[in-house]
Amino acid sequence: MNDAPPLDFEEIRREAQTAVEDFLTHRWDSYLEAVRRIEALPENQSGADKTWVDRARDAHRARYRKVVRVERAGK
Amino acid sequence: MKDYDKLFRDLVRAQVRFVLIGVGGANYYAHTGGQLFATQDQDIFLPSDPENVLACWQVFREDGWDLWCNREPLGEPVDLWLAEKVVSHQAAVKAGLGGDEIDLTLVMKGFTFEEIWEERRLFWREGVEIPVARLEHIVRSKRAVGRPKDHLFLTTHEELIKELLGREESKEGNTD
Repeated sequence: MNDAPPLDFEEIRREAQTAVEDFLTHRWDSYLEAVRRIEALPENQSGADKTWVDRARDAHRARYRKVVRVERAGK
Repeated sequence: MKDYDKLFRDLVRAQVRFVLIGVGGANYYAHTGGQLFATQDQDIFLPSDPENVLACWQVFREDGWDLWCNREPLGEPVDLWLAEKVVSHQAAVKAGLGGDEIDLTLVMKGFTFEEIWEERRLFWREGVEIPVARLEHIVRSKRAVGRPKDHLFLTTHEELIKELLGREESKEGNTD
């Protein structure tokens, strides 16, 4: 398990940057169009009940609040 | 767990003008719990109106939140004079309670408050109507801010939007 090569964070950063530039340059307009279609869905109109969003978020946070760090054997 | 239900109810009851923006606002357009973006913070956009800002602060304080500005307690007394100073500097105030934070901002890059307010959506949340910015406004502002974390959010969000639209299209296909 400890034989895995170390993560190359600089390489990861470069890849993320390339992905972002490609998105902003080539796909931004189609993304905005998709966003408008999402906004137009019936469940995203004023008057929609979004209580579930907060309940889901609270449940997620409550789950991770319980996480405790444990020392691995041999450490 | 913070009582956000009470906080938002109290803000509405006090007739505070505000709009939810940022990732917290974008989450209201998700379709399932799995599509929610994990964020510790909520962002509330306020108009540059000292009386409204003061009314907002008072609700937060009455609900037990601490207010901070530039990493220091907001100071006393919390009054109209202080609100005018904060508005004139367009300073951001942070509300904190037990590890949760809410940014009270007077600036949303690329938009005025009135532009956002005009086209806000009103979503119900536990019996209270909460004003939320349009998703298009949220993502356009994130692009305008231009921090790496904002751009990464947009790139990730694109995938989510595609997935959501694909689901909608297959739903429409099934009804034919």
